[in-house]
Amino acid sequence: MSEPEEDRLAMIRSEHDRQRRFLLGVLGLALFLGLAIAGGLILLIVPASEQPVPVWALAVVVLTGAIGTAISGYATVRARADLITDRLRFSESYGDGLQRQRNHALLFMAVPMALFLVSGLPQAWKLASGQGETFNWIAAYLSIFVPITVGLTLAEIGTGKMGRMKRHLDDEMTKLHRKQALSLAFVAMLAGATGTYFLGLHHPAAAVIVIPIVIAGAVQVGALRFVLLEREAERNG
Amino acid sequence: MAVSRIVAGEGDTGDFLWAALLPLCAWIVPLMVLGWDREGQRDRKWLEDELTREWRGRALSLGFLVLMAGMSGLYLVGLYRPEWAILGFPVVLTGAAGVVGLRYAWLDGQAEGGDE
Repeated sequence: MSEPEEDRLAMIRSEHDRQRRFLLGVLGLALFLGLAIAGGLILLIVPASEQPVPVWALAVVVLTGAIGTAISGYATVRARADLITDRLRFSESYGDGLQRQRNHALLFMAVPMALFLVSGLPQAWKLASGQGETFNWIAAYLSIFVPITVGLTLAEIGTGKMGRMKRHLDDEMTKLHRKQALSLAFVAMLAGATGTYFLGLHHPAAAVIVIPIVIAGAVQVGALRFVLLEREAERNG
Repeated sequence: MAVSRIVAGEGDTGDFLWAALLPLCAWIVPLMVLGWDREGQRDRKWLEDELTREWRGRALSLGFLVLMAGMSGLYLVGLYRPEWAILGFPVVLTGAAGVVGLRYAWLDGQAEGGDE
């Protein structure tokens, strides 16, 4: 087995162990804390004459709960710290995996994009031909919504919520690939727009419903280019 | 004017020629920025460096966003009045090309200013 592969397996095993320890710690914390609180409440609320068990037994339960809580708490904090340390140590491979996931998601967006186009364009045709009602407007707007979202994702705009992941995602090479992909998408969209304009000179309504197809096509060309460049870079190490 | 006459169904050959010229003009600037013009092809080894590629990428990325926004606007207008969308096409195409050219010139100018 190659060294990077062994490292990766060691990382997975280590993370798995630490996750299990963290989970056990949290469970222990919940159990012992519950025990301590329940024992304490019975001691405090129920009068001594009506206690179901001797007071000393309840005191032992509370003490056990308190000690268990302290130990579980320490174990949980320790496991959590180890998990973070592990992730930081292997952040490069973690970032690679994350980037790969996002690239796949970018390509997968072609499916909803196609679905919204297929459902929205007949409605857009109705509207452009002077018919249509509220439902048609909604469907027509949705047909352009997904391609715009993918385009903005490709350009890394509106991904503020990804702040925590950003340090794993945007290295110099990815930024360069992004720009190359967007350049190609621009050329594709300019070509599509020119063609649509010429079509529109003869048939304006037909040109209007071609616009979402042009945007979706150009965005997908850009996404595909980006994913291919990233894959090539990954292959070349 | 030529486009509005064509859209109204009153265009002649001259109008069609004018209308065809508009988007072709919009192509000149991006082609120059991409270095696909004749001069750019001939002097590629002198013109192409890391910085040029970086400026090109940034300018075209902005152009992509402007063009996508413009096309989306045309679509929304076109659902209401298709003729208006066609009239807006030359504006969007030349506008996006202009943004690409200006952004590239601006970045290049800044880099030159930094060199001095």
